[in-house]
Amino acid sequence: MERIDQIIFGDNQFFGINHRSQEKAEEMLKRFGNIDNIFEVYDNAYDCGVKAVMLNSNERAAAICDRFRENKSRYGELAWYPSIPYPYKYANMVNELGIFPAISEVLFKGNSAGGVLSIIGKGASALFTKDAMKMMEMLIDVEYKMFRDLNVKCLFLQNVIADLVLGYNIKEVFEHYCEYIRKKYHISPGIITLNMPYLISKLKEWGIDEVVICSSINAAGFNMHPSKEEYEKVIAANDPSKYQLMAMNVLASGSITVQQSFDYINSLKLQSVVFGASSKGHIKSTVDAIKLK
Amino acid sequence: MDKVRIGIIGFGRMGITHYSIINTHPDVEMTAIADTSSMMLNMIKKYLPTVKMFEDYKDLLKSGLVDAVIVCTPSSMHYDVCKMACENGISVFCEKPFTTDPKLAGDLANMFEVKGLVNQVGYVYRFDAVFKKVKELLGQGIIGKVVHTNAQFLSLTISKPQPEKGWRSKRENGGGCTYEMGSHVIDLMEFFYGKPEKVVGSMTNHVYSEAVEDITDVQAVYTGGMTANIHVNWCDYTYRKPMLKLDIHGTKGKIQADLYGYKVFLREENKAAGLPEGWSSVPMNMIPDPCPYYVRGTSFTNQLYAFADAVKEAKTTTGCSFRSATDTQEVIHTIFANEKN
Repeated sequence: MERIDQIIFGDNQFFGINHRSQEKAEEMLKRFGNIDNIFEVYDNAYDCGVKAVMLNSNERAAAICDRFRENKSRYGELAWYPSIPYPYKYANMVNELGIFPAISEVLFKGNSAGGVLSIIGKGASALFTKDAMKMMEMLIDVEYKMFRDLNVKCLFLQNVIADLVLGYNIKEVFEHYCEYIRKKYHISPGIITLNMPYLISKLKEWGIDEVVICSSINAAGFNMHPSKEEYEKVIAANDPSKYQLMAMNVLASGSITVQQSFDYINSLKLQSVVFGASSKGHIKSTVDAIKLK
Repeated sequence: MDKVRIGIIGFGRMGITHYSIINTHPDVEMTAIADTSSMMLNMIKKYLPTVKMFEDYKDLLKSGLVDAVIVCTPSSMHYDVCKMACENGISVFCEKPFTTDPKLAGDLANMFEVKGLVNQVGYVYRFDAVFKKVKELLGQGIIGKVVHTNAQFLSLTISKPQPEKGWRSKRENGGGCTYEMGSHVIDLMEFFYGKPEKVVGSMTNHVYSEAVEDITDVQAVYTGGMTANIHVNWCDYTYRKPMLKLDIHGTKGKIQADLYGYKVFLREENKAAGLPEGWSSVPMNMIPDPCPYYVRGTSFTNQLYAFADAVKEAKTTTGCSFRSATDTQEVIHTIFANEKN
């Protein structure tokens, strides 16, 4: 399994995600409504030594990807760790339309590629009932499209979907997802979860390995389910040749200091950290503080 | 009871989420699902071979396969489904709003109490870490005698005129901001203060919806003369994410709380509680909030685990009972009755 990058620059700050303050989130949303301001931050991160990014396939990500593609010489071999899907798009559509019409809308609207057309021919409803795995492949392809021609190393399944599906305890879904990502895109499959110990126990039970697992890990214990102690046990016992572990939410949305955060993170057996920041000073101090074992 | 056998009636968005959550409970076995969508039934049949599928919920309730059900049908069906579950000795977790008629709500509360079956309504904010903490602080009398509460629930759920067909446009399906959001706030007040003594007044207004209200205001009096203002608006374009916030005024201080955390203002230091004079503030992510498996928020998991635990141990649930939800239903119907005046 290819070794993942130790330091990855995340995207929450760009999209108004802040677990602590709605005002702060709105302020960021306003600032980063202008893509130039997003790229100013990316440039700073790149200059501070960040060589890998994580980006969720939300409605604004396509424009960001375009700009990276147009400026390949500027960003060299920047490594990509995208996550799919943008769950709120689906949540809103499911609310408005119902589940199957929402999936049809995503698959068929504006996606007139040959493969999709042939499936319309077969009838969407037959697809849903007979082959949910094929449907999953099509959804992955639709979401992955915006990351084409970028140096993608690993594709993550976003936690809202991953944890929902994981609760169903269906081996086939995860097995098929991982295999499809490897075979079709020749990259590592990744899963974002807020239930890392549970996910790892299931993957072991199912015999699925060589997966990158990204989860909240922080000194505050925030979003670590069922408990921080359980995470620490699983991390200590983990074999990184089977599961590479990436920590997200390491600053617990700013409720602990950078020093506190990394004293903790650096003490654990982790392979990677994804973090977000918007000022050059914060980016630099965070990059300097990451010293994984 | 070795394992609690649970079925789900109504497999839409909430049913799908609830299945994922409760299926992770070590003492639960998922045994049955009822839904009218044959497409959905066929798809899950293939991937959940141990779960029995039913097109008619009545067959599920008569199958002998379940000790408890999670009801996620449209609200207008809740009474019939819950009544039949009760007749078959089955405990019920029912999504909110509980019913669309306070008389029927009260009948269900009586039935389940007589049979001693676990009954819970999905008023999920009772399991929110911040609001649980507020209840604890109020119980300790930290801010003295509570005199007034101002509660607001604001969101941008409806941002344009609504198609008449959508479920949100029908009150009998739980549409309208009072059912969808107001019911949560009214239940939180019940959770903190018990049943209101009197609804003094209410108003509703429209922004985009025609058949249902987009804005609701209620004034009520609770035990000890505590007064409350509740304001709900689901067309508020300044809230990208729904925001439920409380301002609680007491004789010794004040509590402000929302989904991001809480603040306490004390006129004098409270040494026993470790709280200084003036403001102290605790963000949501610093409040201990253990959760066995996270899908949609800790509160969603903890409310369902509380239900399953209550069924397993044959005890009263810590969630909102049918009786409490009946009180909330009565307040809601007073609001609707006032519209006609």
